[in-house]
Amino acid sequence: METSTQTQSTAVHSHTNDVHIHEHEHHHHQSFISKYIFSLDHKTIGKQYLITAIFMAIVGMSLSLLMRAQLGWPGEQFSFIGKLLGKFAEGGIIKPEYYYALVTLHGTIMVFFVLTGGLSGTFFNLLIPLQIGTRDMASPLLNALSYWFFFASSCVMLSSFFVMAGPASGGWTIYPPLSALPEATPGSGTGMTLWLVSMSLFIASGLMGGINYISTVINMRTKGMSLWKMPLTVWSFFITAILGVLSFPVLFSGAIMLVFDRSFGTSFFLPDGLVVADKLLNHSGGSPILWQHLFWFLGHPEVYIVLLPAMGMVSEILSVNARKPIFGYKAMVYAIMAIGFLSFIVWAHHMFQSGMNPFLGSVFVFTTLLIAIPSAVKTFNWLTTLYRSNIIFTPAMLYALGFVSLFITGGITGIFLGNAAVDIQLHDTYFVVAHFHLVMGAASFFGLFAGVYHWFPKMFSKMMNNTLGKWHFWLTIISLYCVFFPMHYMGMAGVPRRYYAFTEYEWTSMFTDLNRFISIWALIGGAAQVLLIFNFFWSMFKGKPATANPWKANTLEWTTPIKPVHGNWPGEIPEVHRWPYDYSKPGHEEDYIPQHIPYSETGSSNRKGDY
Amino acid sequence: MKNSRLNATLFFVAGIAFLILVFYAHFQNPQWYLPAATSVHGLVTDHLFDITMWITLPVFVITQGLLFLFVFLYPHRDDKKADYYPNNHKLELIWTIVPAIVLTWLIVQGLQTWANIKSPAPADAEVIEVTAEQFAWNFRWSGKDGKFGRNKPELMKASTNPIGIDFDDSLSHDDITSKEIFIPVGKTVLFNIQAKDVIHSFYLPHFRVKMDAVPGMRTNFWMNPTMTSADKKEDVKRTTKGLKEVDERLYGQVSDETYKDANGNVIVEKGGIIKRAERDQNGNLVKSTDVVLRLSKAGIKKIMAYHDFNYVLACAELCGLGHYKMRAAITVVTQQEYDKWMSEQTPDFEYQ
Ligand code: HEM
Ligand SMILES: [Cu+2]
Ligand SMILES: [Cu+2]
Repeated sequence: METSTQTQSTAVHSHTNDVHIHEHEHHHHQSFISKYIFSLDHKTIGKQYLITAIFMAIVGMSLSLLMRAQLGWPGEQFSFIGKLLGKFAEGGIIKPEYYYALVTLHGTIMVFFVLTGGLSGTFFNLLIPLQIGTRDMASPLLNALSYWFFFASSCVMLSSFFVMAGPASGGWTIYPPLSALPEATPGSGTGMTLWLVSMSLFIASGLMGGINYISTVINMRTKGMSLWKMPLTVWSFFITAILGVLSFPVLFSGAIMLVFDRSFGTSFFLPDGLVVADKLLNHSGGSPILWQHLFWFLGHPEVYIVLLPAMGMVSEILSVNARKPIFGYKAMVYAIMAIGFLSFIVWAHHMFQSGMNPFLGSVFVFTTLLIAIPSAVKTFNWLTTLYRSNIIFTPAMLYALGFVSLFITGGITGIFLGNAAVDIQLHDTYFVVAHFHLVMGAASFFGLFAGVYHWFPKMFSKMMNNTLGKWHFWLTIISLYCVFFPMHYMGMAGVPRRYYAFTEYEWTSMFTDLNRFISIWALIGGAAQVLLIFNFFWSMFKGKPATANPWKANTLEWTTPIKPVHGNWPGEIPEVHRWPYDYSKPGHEEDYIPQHIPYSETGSSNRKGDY
Repeated sequence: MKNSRLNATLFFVAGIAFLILVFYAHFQNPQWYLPAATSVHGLVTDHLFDITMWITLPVFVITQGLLFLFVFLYPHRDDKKADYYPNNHKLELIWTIVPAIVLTWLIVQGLQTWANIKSPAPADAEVIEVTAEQFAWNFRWSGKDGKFGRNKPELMKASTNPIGIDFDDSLSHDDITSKEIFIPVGKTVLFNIQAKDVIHSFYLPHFRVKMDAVPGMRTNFWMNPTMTSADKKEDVKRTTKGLKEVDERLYGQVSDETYKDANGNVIVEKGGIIKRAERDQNGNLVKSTDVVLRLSKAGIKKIMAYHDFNYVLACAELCGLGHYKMRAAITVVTQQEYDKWMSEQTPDFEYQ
């Protein structure tokens, strides 16, 4: 092992400086700890993120199943839930304080820890260096730190399950005064403090990661890899990282102000004359609406931070498995940019009914509905990519196709919600729950799944089992639709979200059956995830050995050795000559031409206007 | 590539089944689709909802349909290559511009509606002050003088003076308070909304009214109810009455006849609500209180029943543990009934 690297490194030595630096590290004997735990290698860090995210996803999903148990069978006693939750579910019935903690932590964990930290952390780390052709991130140290901050913040968030009064319970948006006043609800005590500490660590982690991703993409692309030759994955990661770096600090400042309001007597978000349980508080001069502006200034870009990377991976996977160039590559890039830009000026669509000036609402109606245009362009381009294609149904491809379907279904309801007048009825109802679960939750999860199935061979040098993957896909998509589609109806009738039970009102009780139906499908969907977990860990050890380029893809990661090496390419980093989407090019014998193949070798297929 | 064919077909079948199910569910349960509004502006926003539906539904069906169709038509064949079709500027231009035009039109419609709803209330509106607290709603009318007396946070006491009326202010002496809303049909009502502790949301689902109650500021919403509670109740009764099978779905409905068991004991009376089994202190179901259970024991297969209906005020912003049951009744009555109700109220001042 040592000697082989030795020879490889001499072969490389003369070429670039950064190789030189890395090779020095390489000569040291790496212990288990420095290799797997405190690793600086971007591929290992990516895997650390993935494993952490899988764990958090299991937690987040279990929380949602507990909620569904309550909503599907309100007042029913489940003895195992009683045993599991102890005083939070005496007699096996979840208490309201615990239901609200479940809602809050489920939302927080899914949005931030799984689909932001987990999804970005895994695939940005794994793919950015491999696809742009560099040996590691701009700053491997910062990268490792970013992971460990993420790890710490996950631990702090989970630790809040073990405090006396329970975890934060003000919803993932933690609107003050509710979140600021422990008198107002039990979860606003220690639980909320831990939430804020955890999120601060999380934001620090996100910023370290983000700066790193951006500088890596800007500075470290291999020879020939101009911006317009980057795969759509890297484009979407790049824009996402910019969104994160610009928006997360705003949430950070909001969180700090909230900490001050809670602990040091300031009144950023707390107005005069608050009376809680007959006690007059002596805060003065703050505004609860200010928090909403600060939160959603992050919160809206956040949903695209979750969604854009999934879109990027789906574009790549669709093209590879349709054996066809992505349709309208440049339009796809411009659409990502447009969505990224617009996502900063639509935040107040979450606040149409918040009491802010209605004229402001009008402005945000306009910008919000504009976002539908680049989204429509992306959808049409994906569909056209499939037109007259030659589709190979890998599990990753199935998930990519499922993504398109979910994105359409969930995206269309956004057009209803974006119109402030229609939103009067729909705001904060199950219509919204259906909308965001489909377009952001389920769709991004599908991106994540697609990514895992597609790049598993690159991560673990093994193949995942196809049959299990397909079963997993079918069970998952059917249960997702059965869970979330009916919720639109509840929302139209006006059933509010964040309700512990629907039994208090005549007008919500007509959905008793429907809620049970939803809960049953949620359980089926949850059970189906066992297939993925099993497949993942089983294949890691027992899977078929991977080949170098199992999907016959064009991007650079498939030119690295099957067994990953530190520095990624044992020899020189390949030079890039063409765009990543030369699939089924007429005149070429095979149906793909990897990016590093020069035009001089493909004379018969070259054409005017080649990228 | 047998496997390809299978997945392509599965995709297509599942997709078409999905589209059919969507429509089937819809026509089986037409009452699930956006129930009709009972306010003037609500009819307008519902219309906008319908327009949006008519625009997006075809887009939904066509795009999903194409997705399933392409997947069905182009599974992998070794003897075939995909089209090399990287772009088509004209096509891309079309599907940028067409959505842009349609959306512009929707935006214009939406903004006009929004501006009307949010315009200042007519001067002759009936004004009701709404004060939200954990977990109750308080309402106040200004009385004969048409002016509200001051309220002060330091006077707020949930049991005696929840909205902190300052009785030193003589304007408050004829103010009337209530825990329920009464409003006259066909007249504009303006709600001035405030909150004592945390954010709540004043939500009248049947009237399409939703406005957050925010501590430290006043928000408002005005509307014009089109149907009295009694008429609406009658309407719902008429449209939902029928012979219904005795099963779970009966819970919460109203029986239209008196049903007795073999011994002549009444199971449910005419006009009585069909209730679930209650629980005793140990949490065990008391089977003898379950109407559905008793009906089926008595061998009754079908009964005449209908849905009950009451307008309701619900809280739509998470405000703490009692959020899900922070309700209040709202009754729409005729002008005469309203005047009568009003004349029967005693101002709080006189209790002092
Ligand atoms: C396993 C599938 C899932 C099920 C069954 C599920 C179920 C639920 C339920 C029952 C609620 C509470 C609704 C309420 O009471 O208002 C909820 C809220 C939420 N879920 Fe999920 N969920 C799932 C997956 C996801 C995913 C993948 C995401 C990622 C974005 C997500 C994000 C959220 C958010 C942000 C909330 C709102 C929390 C809040 O109101 O503060 N969920 N979900
Ligand atoms: Cu948003
Ligand atoms: Cu509430």
